[in-house]
Amino acid sequence: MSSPRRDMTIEDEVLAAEAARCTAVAAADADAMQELLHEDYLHVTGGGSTMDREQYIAWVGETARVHERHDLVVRCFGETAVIQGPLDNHMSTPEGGVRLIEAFVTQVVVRQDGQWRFVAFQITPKRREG
Amino acid sequence: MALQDDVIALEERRADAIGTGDLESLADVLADDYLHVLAPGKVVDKAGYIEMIRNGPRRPVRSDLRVRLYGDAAVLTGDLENRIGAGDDVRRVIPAFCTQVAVRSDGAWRFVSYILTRKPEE
Repeated sequence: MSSPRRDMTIEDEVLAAEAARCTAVAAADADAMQELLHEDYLHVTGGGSTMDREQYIAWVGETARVHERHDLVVRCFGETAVIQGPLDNHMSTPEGGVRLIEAFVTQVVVRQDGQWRFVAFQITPKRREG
Repeated sequence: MALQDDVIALEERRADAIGTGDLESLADVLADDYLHVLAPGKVVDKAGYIEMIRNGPRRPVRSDLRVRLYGDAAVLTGDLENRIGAGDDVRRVIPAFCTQVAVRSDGAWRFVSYILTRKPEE
């Protein structure tokens, strides 16, 4: 993973980390995901179940997906940042198709040794009211 | 008291404030830039969330909480049962999982972020 450019704001750095995460997920690049996800990483799925870093990387390897982000809000609290915004999850299906899941995601990233790494990801689908 | 205990105590204050309808105490545990994500992906700010609790009484019951600390920020994760209704008049119980972020400023912890994802109802 390359170091942040000197002219980047902290928000730019965090958004660049999220762009790198989306690229790694779309490519099912386990090495890149291992680098971007903190060893503490906890992933909460749309059904409210949890996975650690290794379980999540294995899941992405088994089921291809593309994460498309927009309208992200980044808030920084020292060496920790919170990213919030919509996520369009293009998930492959066992039948060979692609299913779009529209959702909202909150992520937490921390700066460790000069690099931003994700420690938390929780997705909630937009499908239900209440 | 360990810092993890401080964050758990903050969550207990938040849950008690919601359960008793104590909106002043609820406002005190939420930072001014608090963002709350509801299960369908709708986002409300601090004022909007307090108004939602005023109009929709409930009691959140937490379990299996885990606190991870990163400097003056804490990530709190765990199960939540949302008991919808006033007092003992529980009309519905919604099982869910929550990720919250609390930040320590001037020695006090306050929540800045909350997201809830529903689990399948049994």
